[in-house]
Formats: sequence, C-alpha cells, structure tokens
Amino acid sequence: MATLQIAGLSKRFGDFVAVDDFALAVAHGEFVSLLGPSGCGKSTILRMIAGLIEPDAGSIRLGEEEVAWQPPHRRNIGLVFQSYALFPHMSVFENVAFGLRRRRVAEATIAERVADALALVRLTGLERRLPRELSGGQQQRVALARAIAPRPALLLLDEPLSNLDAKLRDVMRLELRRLQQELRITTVFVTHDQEEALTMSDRICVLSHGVLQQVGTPREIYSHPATPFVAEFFGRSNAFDATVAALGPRPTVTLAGGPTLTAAQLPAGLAVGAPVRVTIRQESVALVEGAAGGADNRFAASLVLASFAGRDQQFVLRLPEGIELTAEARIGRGEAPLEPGLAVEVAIACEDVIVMPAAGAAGAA
Amino acid sequence: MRRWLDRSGFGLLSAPLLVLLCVFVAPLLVLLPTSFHPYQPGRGIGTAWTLTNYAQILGDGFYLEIIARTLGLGLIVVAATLLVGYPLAYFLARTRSRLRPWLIILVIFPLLLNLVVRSFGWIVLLSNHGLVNDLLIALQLIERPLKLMFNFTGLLVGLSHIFLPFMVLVLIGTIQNIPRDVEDAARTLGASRWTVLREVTLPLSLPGILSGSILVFVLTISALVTPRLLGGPTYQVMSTLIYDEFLKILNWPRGAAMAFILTAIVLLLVWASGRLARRWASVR
Repeated sequence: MATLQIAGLSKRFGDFVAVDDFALAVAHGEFVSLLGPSGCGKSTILRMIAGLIEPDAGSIRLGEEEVAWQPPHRRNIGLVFQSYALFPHMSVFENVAFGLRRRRVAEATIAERVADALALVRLTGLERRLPRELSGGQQQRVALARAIAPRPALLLLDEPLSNLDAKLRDVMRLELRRLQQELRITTVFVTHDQEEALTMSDRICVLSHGVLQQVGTPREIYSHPATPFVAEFFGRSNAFDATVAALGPRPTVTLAGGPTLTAAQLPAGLAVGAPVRVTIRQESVALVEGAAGGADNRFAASLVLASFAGRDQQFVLRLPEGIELTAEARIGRGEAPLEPGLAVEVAIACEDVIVMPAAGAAGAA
Repeated sequence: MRRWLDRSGFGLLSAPLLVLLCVFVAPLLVLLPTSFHPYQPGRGIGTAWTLTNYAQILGDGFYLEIIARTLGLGLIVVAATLLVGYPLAYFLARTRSRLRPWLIILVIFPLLLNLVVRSFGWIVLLSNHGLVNDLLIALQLIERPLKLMFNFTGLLVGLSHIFLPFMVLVLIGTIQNIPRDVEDAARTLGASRWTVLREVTLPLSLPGILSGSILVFVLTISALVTPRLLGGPTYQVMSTLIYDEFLKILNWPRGAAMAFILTAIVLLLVWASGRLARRWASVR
C-alpha cells in the first residue's frame, strides 16, 4: 500500500502549463526526489501535495484518504521550506511545538516530543534561542525538527539544502538521509541538484516542463535514461545528433559530420536512417596509449584543451572529422600533465554509447 | 568633531536639522515663556511670571472634559482605522491581482483632495438634511433626523475616514514584509487560516500596528480643520480651543499653555511607544 498516490495531477497558471498529468506512487518509508531544472513544475507539485496550491485536476491520496481538496491543516504533512520559514517571534522550542499545539497534544508530551525532535537534529540546548540568533545550518535543523515533531504521514522537502554553503550542504545531505532512514518517514524531496538526488534518493522522478520524464532508482536513471532530456541532465555529457547506420547484434550509429560508433543496444522500433540522439558521458571517454585495451570504439584525436579541476582533469578533444568531445579523467599521481596539441587515442566502450530516438520522434518510439 | 560627523551620519542630517530648528523648535521656544505670563483682558500679556494658565486649564472641568474628549476621540479613531484598515491592508499586501496598483492608488486618492473638501463632503452626508438623514426618513426608518454632526459621532466618522489611508499605508508595508512562506509553514503544521492570523500574522504585524496607531492618534488629536467643520463652533476639541484662544479671544498665554499640554501628551506617547517597540525587539 503506497503512502502517497498521485494521479492525473495538472495545474495551469494562465496559459502556462506548470504540471501536466503527473502521476507518482511513493511507498511507506521511501525517499523520492522530484528532480528537474527550475520552472519544471517540481515545486508546484510539492505545494499541491501540501495543499498550498489547489490543483486544476487530479487526485492525491494520502494513505486511504483523498486529500487533493482538503485545506493544508487537515493533511498531516510536514514541509521544510527552502527559506526555512521559521516563526521569527517564537523561540526554537515554540517553533518546534507549534504543530503539536495545533494538534492539542498535552503540555508534558509536547515538552518530551520537542526535546526528542531537537535531539534528532542535534540542537539540544538551544530551545530558548530565537531563530535570528542561529546560523543558517541551525535554522535549517529547526525547520526540520518543526516539520517532523508532529509525526506527519509524509515529509516534504522543498530544496532544503540550497541556501547552505557547499561544505555544510554535504554534511546536511548525509544527516537528512540518516534521519529519514532512522524514522522511516516517507519523504518527497524537491531539488534541481542531480548529485543531491542521486546520493539521497531511493527513487528519482525527473521532470521537464511539467511533464514526467522518467521514474527509477538513481542507478537506472543514470545508466538507462529514457529520454534525451534525462540523459543530458545527468552528469556532464557530450550529445550529438546522429542517424542509425546498421541494426543487428552490433548496431551502429553515424554522428552528424563525424565517425560511426558501435552501441550496445538501440531502442526498439528504429529503422536504418532514423534520426537519433547520442549521449556519451564525459567520464566514459577514455584516453588510451598505444594499442592497449580492446575497446569497441577507438579514434585518433588531438588534444585541444586540458584543464585542471582538482581531482579530475578535463580534456577537450578534436576528432579528425572535426567533432569535439569532452572527456573527464582522474589524474594519476606523478603523471605528467598533458599539453594541448598532443595526439592521443580515444576509446569509448559500446555500453557507454547511449542512443535514444531524437527528441521530435520520442513519442513514436 | 569632523570624524564624529562623518561616522555618525549627522553630517547628512545637518541641513534638515537646521531647517527644523529654525522653523519648528525656535518658534516653540519663543512661545514657551508666553505660557507663563498672565493675561490681562484689555491690556494684553503681562510681564509677571505665573503658573495660572496651566493651573486654570488643569483645574477646570470644562478644559479637562475637552482634553479627555480629545484623547478619547484619538483612541476611538485609532481603533476604528485599525479595525477597517487591517483587513484592507492585509488584502492589498497579499493580493496577486493585476488591479493591485490601482487599488492602492484608490486608498491614497483621498489624500490628494483638499481637506476642507473632504470634510465638507461629510457635512453634505451627515447634516440634519443631509443624504443619510433624508434617506433614513424617506425609508421611514426614523421620524426625525438623527444628530450626526456637531457631536462626537460626526468627528469620529470624519476623522476615521480622513486618517484611514495613513493607517493602511503603514500596515501594508509591515504585512508585505512578513514572508508568505512563514504563513504557509503555519498552515502545513495544522493551523487554520484564523489561527495563522492570530498566532503568526498579527504578532508579526505588531510593530506596524504600533506605528500606524501612533501616527493616527497624533494626527487626530492635533487635527483642526475637520473638527472645526464637523464639530461646529461649539463642539470643541483641544486644537479648535487653542485656535480660538489665539485668534478669537486673543488670550495667547492660555492658548500657549494649552498647546504645550498637547505637545507634552504627544511627546510622552512617542517616547512610550519607542520604549515599547524596543522591548518587543529585545523579546524577539
């Protein structure tokens, strides 16, 4: 039995379609991310689940109950805002107790549960502080404690980490996930940050322009993207227009103005000559020396640009046909830096050549 | 000295400060001794020093009633503008309507009309043969015209209307500064709209409610034109009384004493509200 079941959810703002026929089921204790660029409708969906925006059509079931037309205070949902939205005139204790007081919990129980919630987010001892006396990270934790203290059936997180600085964000990401697993609280997390979504989620739900692109585990979505949008959204990748050159057990595609590549598999229903979109992640492009290794796709290339990025090094390579590829590689210790102009050999495994029907033909596939 | 001026920002204030000192504080100080001189009918202002002017005002039931009436009027006008103004300001601060700028202009619009015209408008409505009475009589709800003017009711209605824009403008600013997310957070935590208003929005609007109230109170107790027109020559408040003492009776010393009593009340109030605001700020 899914805790949250959404079907046919739609919302327009004037002529702008914010969310179109969205469906999702979240199991008890699951952590699902809504991922997409800004304006893709993910926050609108979250606010509709919370009841802060009324949908135009659709159903939102929370457990057994249809809540799509219920006011937010009847839904038993906890929401953490990007801006934290703490009550500035109340102490940390009163902020966390707010939801409990609305549920008419006895005073002694309130004290106990506020203490529990604050202990969970490691803020014990700060009960009497006011929000403005706390750091951004602490405010974030208060917002989280406030949302979970009433033990909601569903926890919604609206980009809760994006106002934190990079280091703190990494810490909070892990803590949030630990907390979620400890409490086994069903969670829907909205983010535009693919790394956040990949590291934290049980499942990811990728959205673009209000339309659901793909739902799956982080691994599935990363390795087997269903649409060109998903493929290009994750990781840093090279994307090319191409046509199908050959079918069969070892199908090939020809890049526009470039070489022909062998792919591990093609999407079903494509004929020779069909337009496709080919995506190759930067980390799948390997620089090899000599004749070592037997990769499926090997080309001679010249190094156009090499840039140092800490742990990794980024290379821009030009193939003889004139196409440019970007590669990303770990630098070995003591390895001499590569200089532009160098002739190198490029290898791409056939599993890493991701082929999808071209965007326009996506519906036909 | 120069560095102090630079750092404190008083350098920037010096020009307006100078103007205020010359045209506001200086005349006030010139008037101060006048209030301590005796008035001799037919001879003018005496040179002796005395407290009679203040003693007369503060010991006379007639004057005390007018002071009480003025302060009471101030309080009730504040209450009325708050009651009408808060919902209006809340709506204007929160609406996403495209008409919003026009609605705000509509609120400000009365301020662009001459005060005498606005007050006269109320005379047309409230007088014995005014629109309101004629209508009520025509509907046979009353037999004789209600006394709506030259009394407390008339002043209350007129002044509340005239000072409502000030209250609304101050409140709009405050309510706009309350993030919507904070109200939304309260709603997701189980608060109904009414509870959100009581527990979140109203407490966070208190600074605006305080400054709006002070503004309207001070404007009300010092208003002259509207009380004169709607109160007539006999229904007095402090400001009309001061006006009469100075320009009709020519008893400058008593007028001055009266004016300083009014000023003292205003200063006391501004000081007290400042303390209150600071206390709130430190509690938060």
